[in-house]
Amino acid sequence: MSRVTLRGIAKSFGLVQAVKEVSLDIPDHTFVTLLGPSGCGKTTTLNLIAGLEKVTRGEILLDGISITDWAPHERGMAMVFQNYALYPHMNVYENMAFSLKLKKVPKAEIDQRVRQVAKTLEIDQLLDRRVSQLSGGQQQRVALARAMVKEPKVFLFDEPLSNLDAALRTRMRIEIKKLHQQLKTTSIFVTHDQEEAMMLSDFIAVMRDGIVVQYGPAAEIYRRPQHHYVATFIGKPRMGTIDGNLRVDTSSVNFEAKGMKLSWPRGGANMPLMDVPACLGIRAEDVRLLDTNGAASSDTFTGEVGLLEPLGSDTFVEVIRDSMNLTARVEPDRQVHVGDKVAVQLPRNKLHFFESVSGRRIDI
Amino acid sequence: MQMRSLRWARPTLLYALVALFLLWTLAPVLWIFVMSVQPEINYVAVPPQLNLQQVSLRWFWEMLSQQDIRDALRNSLIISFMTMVFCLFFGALAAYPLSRLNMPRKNLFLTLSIMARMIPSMVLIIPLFLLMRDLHLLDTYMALIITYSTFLLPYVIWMMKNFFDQIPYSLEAAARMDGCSRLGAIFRILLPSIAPGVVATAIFAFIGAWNEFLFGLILSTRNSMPIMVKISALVSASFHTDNSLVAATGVLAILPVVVLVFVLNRYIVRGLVEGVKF
Repeated sequence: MSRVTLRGIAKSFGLVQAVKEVSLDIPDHTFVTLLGPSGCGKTTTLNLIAGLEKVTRGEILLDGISITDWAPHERGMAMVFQNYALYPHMNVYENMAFSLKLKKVPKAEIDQRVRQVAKTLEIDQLLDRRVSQLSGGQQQRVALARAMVKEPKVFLFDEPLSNLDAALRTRMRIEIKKLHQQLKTTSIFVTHDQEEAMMLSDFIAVMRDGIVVQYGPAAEIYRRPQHHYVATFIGKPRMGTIDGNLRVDTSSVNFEAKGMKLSWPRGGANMPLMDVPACLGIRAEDVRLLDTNGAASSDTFTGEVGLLEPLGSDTFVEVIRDSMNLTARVEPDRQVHVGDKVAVQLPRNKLHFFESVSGRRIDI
Repeated sequence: MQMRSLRWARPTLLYALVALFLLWTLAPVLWIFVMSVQPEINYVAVPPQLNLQQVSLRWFWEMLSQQDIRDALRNSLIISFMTMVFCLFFGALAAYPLSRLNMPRKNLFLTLSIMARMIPSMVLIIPLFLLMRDLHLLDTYMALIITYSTFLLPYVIWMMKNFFDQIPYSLEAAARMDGCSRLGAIFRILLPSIAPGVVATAIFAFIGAWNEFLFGLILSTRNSMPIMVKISALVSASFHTDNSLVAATGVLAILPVVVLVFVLNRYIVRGLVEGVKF
């Protein structure tokens, strides 16, 4: 059992509020990612959980016990750092054994644990090497091994993959995922890479300016973003958006933007009436690209192809018209050219609406 | 043809200048080696009458046979070593917070510490003498260790702070996650990881204490007299000064530092030039 609960934690450095208020409940065995751009407070939040920084306000619980004032090593957590942070004057074995030695674990047990973990991570050949003799990928493995040897209650990862090159990063990502499936240790992972977050996490907490904008299962973050910011931050390519006005009257729902109008019957009597500036969002895979001479329906608009992004497996097509700038995903063998006149269909059940002012999701 | 001669000219000129510079700095040192193995009459002559047949180490044996010179050498070794240890220990403890902690006025402290060093020694000599007398520390190791540390410590703090600055925060964080206290992290992880820098700083402190003369002259009379003061005492001790003996003692005084620098050369260059790599 190791459930981490954050209750309204905050951290200020002088006048700078790095973390304004973060409350999260991280269930046992889950892999949770704190996701956000640099400076959003995600690393500070992780440091607070680790005990490397003291909270200004709030409470941190581990399995229901407050650990807010505990020293870092008393919390039974292990951390993997972005720049590996291996001890340069020790070899790999000594790096891994260091924490156990401080805990006065018997020598024989240390040896057994170090060798076992080294085997799991396939670094048993490297145990005698000095840190400076290792490649970046090897260093990252050793850092991971050093954390694993401690058999922690919680793993903390601080952007551990961002110093690796693209190919290695993808491989390590898979390994971390496998490792988590195997060990099932509660893990908290910090990254600014939304793809990494989606791929690894059970839950994602999207952060901005020291607060959590949305916290939920990874799929829900992608499928039902609660905020304009989350919608555009998560997903590749970026979710297409159109600024306009949303009006719900007694009989119908209408979205109007420059040169376009969408309209459909009101869903039910409990749908609130409104008339607000709003932003429509739709993901590339939900936009349907039609030929111009296809039947014009009320949810279809014409535009011009601005840019093609062929990725091999898919092709992303940018469609431009007035205020509209959407991306549509099409089959790679589909013949589309820059400058073509095309029509796009926006299926009503795939649309997201966000209040322009607050950015909050409007459920229609 | 012209091109070729020019290509030769540049390095030749460069090496000539380097040679000139080396001659300029090393000539007195070489001369003291020469003096230490020749009878005085040979080198006071104008021009000097150096004679290879008369090369002898007898002044070295004579020097080593004198108890007071041996004592002075021992005093210097002890004082310099203790000063080095003292400066490193407190230098590290002072440099760490100056590098790592978010303290108000820390730059002011750094400036003040170096400003203390800008006061000429002569100004401090009398008050220091009186202070040491009142503390009953005259002619003790402690007097010299404390005095040397007052002017070496600021440098050590500055150097160590720069080395600490180069250590990524995460290294310390890792140490603390692994179970080190802050102090434990400094001594078990941070200092060992900047070993080249620490060695360079240590040698710097050692040499600084070893080469000091003025304070040693005033604050010691017999028991704690360092070798540098002893050399000058040899010169003025009697009616006849045996300059070869003085030169031999001088060579002896140079040796520990030269040996130290040669042995640890690798660290010094790495510590001072490259800094520490992470």
